[in-house]
Amino acid sequence: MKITTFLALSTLVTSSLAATLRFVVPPTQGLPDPSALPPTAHITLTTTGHSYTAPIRVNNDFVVRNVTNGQSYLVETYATGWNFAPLRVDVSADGNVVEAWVTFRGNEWDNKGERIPKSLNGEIFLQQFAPAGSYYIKREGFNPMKLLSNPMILIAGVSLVALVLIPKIMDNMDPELKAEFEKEQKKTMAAFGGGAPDLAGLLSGAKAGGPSAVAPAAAGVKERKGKGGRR
Amino acid sequence: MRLKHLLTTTLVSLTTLTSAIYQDAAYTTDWHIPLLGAPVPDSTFFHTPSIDSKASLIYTLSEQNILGAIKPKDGSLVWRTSLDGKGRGVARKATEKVITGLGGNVEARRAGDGRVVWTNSFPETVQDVRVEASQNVLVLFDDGKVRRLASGSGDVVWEWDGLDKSDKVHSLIDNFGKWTVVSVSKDHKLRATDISSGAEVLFSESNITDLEQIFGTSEDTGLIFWMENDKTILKNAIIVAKESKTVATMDPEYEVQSVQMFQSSATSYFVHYQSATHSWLESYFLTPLGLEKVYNTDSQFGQSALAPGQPPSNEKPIPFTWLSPFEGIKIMAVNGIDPLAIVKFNFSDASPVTGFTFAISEVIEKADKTFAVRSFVTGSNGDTHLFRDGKLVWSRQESLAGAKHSAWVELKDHKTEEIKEEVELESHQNFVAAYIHRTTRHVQELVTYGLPWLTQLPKRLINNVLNGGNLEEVVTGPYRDFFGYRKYLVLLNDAHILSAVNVGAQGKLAWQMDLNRGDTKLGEVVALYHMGNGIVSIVDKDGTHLKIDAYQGRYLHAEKLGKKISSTTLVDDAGTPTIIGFTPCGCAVIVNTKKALSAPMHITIRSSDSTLTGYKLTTNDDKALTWSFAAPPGQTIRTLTPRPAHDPTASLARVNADRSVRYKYLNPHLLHITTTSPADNTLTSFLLDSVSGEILATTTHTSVDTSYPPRALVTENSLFYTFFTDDRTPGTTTKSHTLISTDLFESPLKNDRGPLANAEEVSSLDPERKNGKPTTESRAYILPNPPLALGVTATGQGITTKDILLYLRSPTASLLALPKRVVSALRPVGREPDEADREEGLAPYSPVLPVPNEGVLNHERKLVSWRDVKVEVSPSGLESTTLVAVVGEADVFGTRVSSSGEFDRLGKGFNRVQLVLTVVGLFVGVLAIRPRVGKGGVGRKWRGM
Repeated sequence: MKITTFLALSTLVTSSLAATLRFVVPPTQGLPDPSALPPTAHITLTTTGHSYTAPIRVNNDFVVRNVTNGQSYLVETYATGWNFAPLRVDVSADGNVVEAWVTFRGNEWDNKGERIPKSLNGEIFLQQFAPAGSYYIKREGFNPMKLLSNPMILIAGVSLVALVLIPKIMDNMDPELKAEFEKEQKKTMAAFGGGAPDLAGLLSGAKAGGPSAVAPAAAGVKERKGKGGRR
Repeated sequence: MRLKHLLTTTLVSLTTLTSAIYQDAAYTTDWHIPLLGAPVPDSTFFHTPSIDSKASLIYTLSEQNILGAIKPKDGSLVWRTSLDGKGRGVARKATEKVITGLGGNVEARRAGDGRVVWTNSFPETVQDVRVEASQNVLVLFDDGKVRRLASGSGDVVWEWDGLDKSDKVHSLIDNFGKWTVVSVSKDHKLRATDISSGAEVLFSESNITDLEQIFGTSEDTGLIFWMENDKTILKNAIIVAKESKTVATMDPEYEVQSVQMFQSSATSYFVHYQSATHSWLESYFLTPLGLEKVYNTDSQFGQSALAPGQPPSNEKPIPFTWLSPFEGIKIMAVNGIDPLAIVKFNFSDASPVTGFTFAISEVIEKADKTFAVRSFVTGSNGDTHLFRDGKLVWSRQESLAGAKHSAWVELKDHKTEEIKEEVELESHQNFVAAYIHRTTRHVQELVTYGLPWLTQLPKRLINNVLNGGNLEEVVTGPYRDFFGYRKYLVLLNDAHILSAVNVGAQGKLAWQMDLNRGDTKLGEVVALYHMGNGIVSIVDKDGTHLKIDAYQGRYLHAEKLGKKISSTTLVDDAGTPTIIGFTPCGCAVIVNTKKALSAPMHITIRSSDSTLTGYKLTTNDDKALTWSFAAPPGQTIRTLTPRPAHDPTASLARVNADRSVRYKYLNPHLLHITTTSPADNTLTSFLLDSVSGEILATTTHTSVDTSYPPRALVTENSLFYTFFTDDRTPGTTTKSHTLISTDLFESPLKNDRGPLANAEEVSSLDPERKNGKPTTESRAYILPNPPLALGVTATGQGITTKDILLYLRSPTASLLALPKRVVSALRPVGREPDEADREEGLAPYSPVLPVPNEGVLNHERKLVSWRDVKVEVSPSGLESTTLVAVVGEADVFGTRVSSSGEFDRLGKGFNRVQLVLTVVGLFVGVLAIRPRVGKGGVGRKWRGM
C-alpha cells in the first residue's frame, strides 16, 4: 500500500523548513468587534526575496504558512478604514522562536519598538490604532454666521449702528451738556475750514491729511455738491 | 504612544495638502465597471450560499483569476476577490463554501460573503481540486502528489506521492468511489492511477501529446474522453474495464474546434461538438460492450452551448439545456435511448449574443410538468448573460476585463463639423467671394440659431440658478461635449475584443468589435495607437496592421506587412503620426504609410535585457547606429521611461518665493532607465539623452529587493521611481517601499541658465549648443503600500499644478493623488521651513508619506486589479481638469482630477442662489436707506445748514 498517513510527520517535515505564523486582531476600544474589518483585509510579510500575503479569516485571524525560517519580516496589515502599526517579526533559523515588535516606518530596522505580546497558542497580536479618516471632504455651504463675522460686514455694521445711535444719544443728553458739546463741535468744524469733516473729502484730499491740504479739497466737495443740487 | 502621536501629527499636517473628493462629487464625476472576466467553464456553478437559503448564487472563477458571486436576479456582484497566485485556477463548490486552487494556494471561502475560512499553501502548483462527500478537500498537484486537506482547518491529513514522476498530470476523478489520478506518460499514453491501492492502468492505444486533448471525465464512473489525430478521432477509456476504444471518427471537413462531454446519468453521456460555424450533439450509452452512440442531432448554425441542469434528486435523468443563438433554448433529457427535446424556449427577441461558448443552467420542473430554466451563458466575446425562460435578463460586460492595450480617442466637435464643408469651400475661393460667403454664412447662422437661442435664454437662466448651473448637455454620438469630458477610451484584450467606453458617460460602452471575426486574423498584439481623427491602428507580431474607425467601430483597412514585428513606436513626422515597427532582427519598418519619413528620426530600441541601442532613421527605411548603452555587468534593465507624449510646459522656470527663478532642465529627449542587480541588491537609475545617448545623471541605491518590480515616471523636469528597500543583513537599513522624487534644473544657482546662458537653440548632438547636464535635487519618500503603477495628471497647457497618481495595492487597490509639492524634491531638510518655503507650500521634509484617505480617488469603490494595471491620463477641454482612467485586469475606473481646483468652471461650490439673493438684498438695502440719506445728508446741506 503506497498511501502514507502521517499527519505528525508531515507537519514535522514542514516545520523544519518553514514556520506557520498566526496573527490575530484583538478587540480593542476602537474596534470592539474585529469582524467589522472588511473581507479584503490582509497582511503581508516582506523581506528580501520573500513575500507572503494572507487574507483575514472568518475568526479574525491571519495565518501565514510555509514562512521561510531565519528571516526578519516586515508585517503590514491592510484593512480599508483602519490603521495598523507595522510590525517586525523575526523567525529563528529553526523556526521555533518567533518574536515580534512594533517597528517605525522610515527608521532603521534595528530600531525596535515595544515587544508584541503573544497569546497562549503563539498568536501574534496586531496593533490597531485610530480608524482611518473619511474619503470625502464636505463642501462649505452657505453659512450666515460666517458671512456676518466677515470684517467688512462688521465694520459696516458698527458704523450703521453708530449712525443710528449717536443722534439718539445726543437727543437724550442733558441740555447743558448738549450745548457744551455743540460748542466744542463747532470749534472742531472751524478748524477743518468751516465745513463738517467729510470722509469723501478727506479721502480725495492729499495723503498727508494736514489742514492745509484738506482745506481746498473740502472746498471742492462743497462746490460739487452745489452743482448737483442745481441739476 | 509615540507612534500614534507621530502618525496623527503627520496626518493632520498633510491632509490639507492633498487633493480631495467632495462628498457631492463622489459617484457623479467618477465611474467604475467592476469586472470578473470571462468565466472558466469547470469553475463556474450555481450554488446555495448556505444550507437554509433556497436561492442560489452564480459563482465563477474567471480567466483573470477573480473569484466572484453574482446575483442571478440582476447580475450585481455579491462579492469578488482577486486570488493570489499564477497560472489557471480551479474553483469547486462545497457545503456553504467555495474551494479554490491557484498556483500553490488552496483557499476555502465562505460562500455567503467571501470571507476566508482557511488557506494553505504548497510549493507545488495545484492541478485539480475535488471535494469529498465528507467535505474534506483532495488536491492534485502538478508533480502528481495528492493531499487531503481537513474540511475545517485546511491542514494536511495525508499525502500520496505514488505517481510516476515523468507523467504529466491531468485531473483527479472518481472511479466508482475510488479516487484516481489521470495522467499522461512520457510516451504519450493515458494512465489512470488509483491512489488508494496504487493500481494503475496504462491505455497503450492512446496518443496524447497535449493535455488539452482530454476534454471530459465522468462524474463517478471513471470514463475519460479525448480526441486524437487533429480532433478527428474521439476515443474513450473505461478504467474499470481497463480498455479504451475509438468511439467516433469525424470527417476532417467538419473542422471541429472544441468538444465537451456531459454526463446525464450513470450510463448516458452527451458529447457537444463545435466547429467554426456549426454545432451538434451526440448521445452515447454505456452498455456492457462499451460506449455506443445512440443518437446524434442535426447540426445547428452558430456557436451553441450545452449545459446540464441540477443533479436529479430522484432517478430521473438530468435535464439538459442546449442554447443556440439562432434556435433558442432547448431542454432535453436522455430518456432511455433517445434524447428528447422536452421543451423549447425561443428567444423572445433577437439575441444580442452572436455565439455561446459555455453555459450553466438551473432547470426546475414544476408540478404542472412545465419547466423554469435559468441559464448563465458566456458569449463568444467573453460577456456573460442570464436568460430566464429564453428571455435575456441581464448582461455583464466581462469583455472589458484583461485589457492589455488602451488608447484615448478625441471626439469630434459638432460645431466645427457642421461648418467644415463651408470653411473648406471658402479656403478655395478668391478673397472677395470668400468674404461674401462667410458674411452670408454668419447671417444665416444668426437667423437659424439666434432666435432659438434667445427663446431658450430665460429657461437657461432659470436652469442655471435652480439646478446649480448644470451645463453638461446631453451629447450623443462621437462628439465632444462643451467641457471636453467626453472621450472614448479604446480597450483591447488578449481575446482580441476591441471596445470603446465613453469616458464622459460613466463608462458606457460606445461600440465593440470582435477582431476574431474579421477577415484578417490577428496574432499577439504589439501596439494600439490613436492616430488622430478617430483612427486607431493595431499592429500585431505577425506584421498585420489594422486601421479601425474609432468613432463607429468599423474596419477601415487591413494589411499584411510581410514582416514580423517585435516592437513599435509612434513618432510625429512633421505633424503626421507615424508608426515605426522593428522586426526581430532589428530592421525598421514604417507601418502605417508607404511614404518615407520627411526628416531623419532618432529611435531607441531595447536590444536585449541589458542593452539599449539608438538609431537614426533616415528618410528611407535605412538606419544608422548612433549609440548603444549596456547596463553594468550583472544588471538588467527593468524600466524604460520617456517623457509622456503630451507633456506641455507652461513655465520654463520655477519661481521661488523671493521672485528669483530656477530654470527647469527641459529636454524633450529624456529617457529614464532603472537597472537592477540581484547579486548585490542594487538599483541604478540612469537618465539618458535618447538622441545622443549621453548619460545625464546616475544614482545607485543599495539594499534594494530586486524581486519587486520598480516603476518609473518622467514628467517635465521631474522624475519619480519606486522600489522596495531591504538589506540582506538586517539592521542597517529600513524595510519599506520607497519613492524617489528628483527635479532637474539647468543650474544650481538662481536666475542662472548654466551652460545654456543666452543660447537661442539647443542640440543634443552639437557640442557648441549642447544643453549640458542637469543639476538634480532629490528626496526619498516612504510609501505604506506597494505601488503598482505611476501616473501624472496632464492638462492642455500644463499650467495647472500636477498631481502624482499612485496606484497602490492596499486592502483593496487604491488610486492615490498626491500633489507634486507633497512629494517635492525641494522640501526643506534639516531646518525649519522659513517664510519662503511656506509661501511655496513646502512642508518640512519627512520621509514617511501618509496615505490620507481624502486623496484616494476611487474613495469607497473597491478595485481589485493588481496584476496588470495602467493609469491612463488625458487632458479635458478645461485647463483645470485631467481625465484619469485605471485599466486593470478586472476594473475599468474613470474620474476627473482638478489638482488646483476647478478654477475655470463654476462648479458645485458656486452658490448661484446666494449670489442672486445678495444682489437682491443689496438692492433692497439701497432702496431702504436712500430716503434717509436723501433727507438727512444732502437735504440738510442744500438748505445750508
